[in-house]
Amino acid sequence: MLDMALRNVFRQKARTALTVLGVMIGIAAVVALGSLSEGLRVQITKNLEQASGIVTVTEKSDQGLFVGMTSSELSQETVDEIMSIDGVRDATPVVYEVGYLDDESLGFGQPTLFESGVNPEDIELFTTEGAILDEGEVLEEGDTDYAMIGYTISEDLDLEVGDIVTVEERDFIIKGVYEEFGDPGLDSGIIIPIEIAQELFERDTYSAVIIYPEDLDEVETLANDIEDSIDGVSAFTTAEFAKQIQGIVDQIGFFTIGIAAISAIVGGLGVMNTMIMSVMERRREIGVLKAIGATNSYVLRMILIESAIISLIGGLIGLGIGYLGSNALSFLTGGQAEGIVTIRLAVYSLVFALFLGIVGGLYPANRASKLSPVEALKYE
Amino acid sequence: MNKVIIKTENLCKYYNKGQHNEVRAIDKVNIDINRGEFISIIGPSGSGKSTLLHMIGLLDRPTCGKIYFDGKDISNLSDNQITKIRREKVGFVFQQFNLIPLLTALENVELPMTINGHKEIDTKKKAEELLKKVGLGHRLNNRPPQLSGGEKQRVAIARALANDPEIILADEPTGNLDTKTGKEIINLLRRMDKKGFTLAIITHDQRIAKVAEKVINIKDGRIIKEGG
Repeated sequence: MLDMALRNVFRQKARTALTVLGVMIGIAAVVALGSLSEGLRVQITKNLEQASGIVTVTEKSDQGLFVGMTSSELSQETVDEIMSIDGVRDATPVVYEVGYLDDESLGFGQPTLFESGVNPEDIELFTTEGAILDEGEVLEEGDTDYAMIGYTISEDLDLEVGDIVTVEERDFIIKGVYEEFGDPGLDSGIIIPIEIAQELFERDTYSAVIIYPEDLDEVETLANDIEDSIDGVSAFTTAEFAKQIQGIVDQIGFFTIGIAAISAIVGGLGVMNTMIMSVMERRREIGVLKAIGATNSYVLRMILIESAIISLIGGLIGLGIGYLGSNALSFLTGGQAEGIVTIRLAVYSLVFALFLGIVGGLYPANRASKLSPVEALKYE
Repeated sequence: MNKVIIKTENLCKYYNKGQHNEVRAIDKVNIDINRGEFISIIGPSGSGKSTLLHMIGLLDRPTCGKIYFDGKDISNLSDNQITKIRREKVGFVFQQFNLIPLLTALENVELPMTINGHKEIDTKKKAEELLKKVGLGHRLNNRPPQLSGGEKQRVAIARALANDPEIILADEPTGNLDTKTGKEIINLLRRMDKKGFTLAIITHDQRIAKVAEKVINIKDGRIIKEGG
C-alpha cells in the first residue's frame, strides 16, 4: 500500500510540490524560531549555573528580580540589617543601572550596558567568584577614577586598559578588562566604585545586596529568613531566579513557536485541500478498489498514508531549511541570538508535521472511504 | 456447497422511495443462479440490469427483498462482512475496464490479492500465471494507457480471477470493443467458465445471449422473460 500511496502522491507533481512547500515553510519557521528559544534557554541555564548558591535581596517587588532590581531602592539601614542576619557568610551591596550604548547597531531591544557600583574589595563577590581578568588589575580602595569593563564592551568600543570610558559624563580610566564570561551583566558591564556610582546616579540607596550563605544547602532557608525578619524586601535565590527566567523564556518560546505553528497549520490546510482534490479526481479508482474488495478502512488508510507522506516530506525539508535558517539568524545577529536545533525540537517538529498531515487527511480520507462503490464507478 | 449460488427474493432497488419521483430500478425480482451456470442478462438501456448485477455482486444494497449468497442471507451483514465475501467470491469485469492507470498489468492483477492480505500467496507469481492464461504473458509490465482495449479487458479478466472467485459478473464486457475483439473476450470468459465457476454477463449482443445457458430479459426493473 505504501508503494501505491507514494505513486499516487507523485502523480500530480506540481500540486504535490506546492503542498509540500506549504508544510515546509511552516515547519521551517517552527524549527528556526524554536531553535532560538532553545538557544536562549541553554544560554540562561549556563549563566545560572555559574551563579548558583547566591541570594539577591532587593526592595519588595512582585515583578520578579529582573524588573525589580533596576527600580529597587534599599536604604543604608535596611542594607545593614540584611548583612547582619544569621547564616550570611559574605554580603555586598550593589548599585545597578542599565543603559544603552550610543552605538545602537546591535539592533536588539535589550539593554546593552550594565553599570554596576560595587565596593572595590568585594568585586569578587559581585562577579560570583568566577570571572577571570583578561588584562589589567582589579579595582582597589580609593580607585575613584577607575573602572573595569567586560569583554563585550571592550570589543564593541575597542577599549583596553588605560583607555578612557565615560559614564554619565564622567571619565574613568580602564583598570581591568574581563575575559568573556557568558553573562551579559558582566560581559556588557562597567564596574565602578559604589560611592562614585551613588554620586553619579544621584542616590543614597542601593539596588540590591548579594549574599553568600554559610551553608550552600540553606540558601532557601536564608532567603525565607530575610523576607520574614526584614520588612519591605524580596530575597531571590538562583533557583527562584531560574524559575522566573525559565518562565519568561517559555513564554517567548510559546509565542514565537505559536506564530510559526499557525503557518504550519495553514500548510496542513493545504494538505487537506490537495487530498480533497485528489480524492475527487480518483473517485472512479476508489470505486474500483472497493469493487475488487477494498474495505472502507483500507481506503481510509490509503488516503491517510498519502497525506502523511506529503506532510512528512514537507516536515523533513522544513527541518533542513529551519536548521539552515537558524544558523543564518545566529550569523546575522553576530551570535547574539544563537539557535540550537535540539533532537527534541527536530522530533517534535516532524511529529507536528505528521500530525498536520493526518488531521488534514482525515476529512478527505473519511469521505473517500464512505463513497458508495456504485456511485463512484459511475463517475467519469 | 449449495447448488444455487445466488438467489434473490422479491429483490428491489427504489430511488426516492415514497416520493412523487420514485424510481423503481429493480422491482420484486426473483432469480436463481446455479453454480457453474453461464447466464446472460439482457434488456434495453435503463432497464435496471446493471443495478441487478451490482446487487447480486454485493456492490450495492437492495431497498427491499433478500439476497442469498451460497445459501446465506446477506441482508443483515455489515459493510465489512459483505466486502469480504465480494473480495473472495466475486470477480467483476466492467465495460470501461476500470484498471488502475498507475499500476502495471501485473500490479493490477496483484491488487485484489494484496488487498485480501493472504501472505502465503506469492501474488506476483500468481498474477503472472493469470496474465499468461489470458494471453498477456508479454505485456506484464505495461501500464493500461499502453494497452489496447482488448488487452485491457484481458487484464481485467485476469484481475477478476485473482482471488479464485466463485462467480464472475461482467457488465457489457464487449461494449467498448470491436466485434472481433469482443468475440475473443467472450470466448476467453467462456473458457474460464468451463473451469467450474459461474458467469453472468450483461449484454446487448444477441449472439452472446444465444450461447448462454440461461437468458434473463429485463425491462423496467422486472423480469419479462427467463429461459434457456
